[in-house]
Amino acid sequence: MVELKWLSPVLCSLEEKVRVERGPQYVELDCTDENLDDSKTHPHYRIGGRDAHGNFIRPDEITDPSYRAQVKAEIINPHNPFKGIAKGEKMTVVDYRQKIVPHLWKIYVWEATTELNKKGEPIWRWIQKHEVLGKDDALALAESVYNSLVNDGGS
Amino acid sequence: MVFISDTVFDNGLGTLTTNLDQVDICSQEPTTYTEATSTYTLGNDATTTGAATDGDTDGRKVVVAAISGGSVTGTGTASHFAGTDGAAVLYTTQALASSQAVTSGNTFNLTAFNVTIRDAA
Repeated sequence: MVELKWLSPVLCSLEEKVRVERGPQYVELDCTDENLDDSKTHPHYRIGGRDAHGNFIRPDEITDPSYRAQVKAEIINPHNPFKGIAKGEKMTVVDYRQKIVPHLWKIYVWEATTELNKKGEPIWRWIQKHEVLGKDDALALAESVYNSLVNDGGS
Repeated sequence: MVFISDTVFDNGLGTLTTNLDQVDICSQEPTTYTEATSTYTLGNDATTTGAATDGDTDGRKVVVAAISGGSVTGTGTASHFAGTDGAAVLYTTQALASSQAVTSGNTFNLTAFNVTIRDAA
């Protein structure tokens, strides 16, 4: 039986191979005045702000000249992964207040990525594998994931 | 709307003064501590958070100190930053005014930022 170590009331570690943490969900919405209204999404999702993926929200409507120029410069930079989101296009927001979807228990696994550090070694990160509504279900699934890792020689 | 004493604001912000001591730059907006400090982090550094003072417009605020020479631990483009206790709790996250491409092994700087609880409307 793996030990469950609670690092906070919403974050549990299973031998630091698997983690379970409760948090809000990402939601994809149309970029509209209604969806940018603070009654629907957090105030930082606004014209001139960024969505959860870092994209600029409706850059064509930014009126501040200097900021508009900076936004344009970022968007036309071919190496910049962020784009502008025009009215009617999709944006991604975090539903902090559960106005659209509930918070979930997210299950992460500690694994090597394809990214390399300055020594040329793989960078290890917590990678999300599952998300579950109920705490007990999440812990049961996390334990199952942990057992699979250990049985596959990941211990 | 009921008047709320500064003591109430300051007790909330005091959590940050006591505990917010790490800032990570991230490749997207994190939703959990794990994402802020691992899944999406591109670098981090220790910081300090001051005591509560009057907000710029109203309410109360704390100032999280600027970072100079933070460690870049991944390669990518940072769009957000996150404030945590460096152990288990994600307290704040915000978009960067300007995104920044970073390379593992380099360093990053970040200006100081405020966390404000505004007066009730």
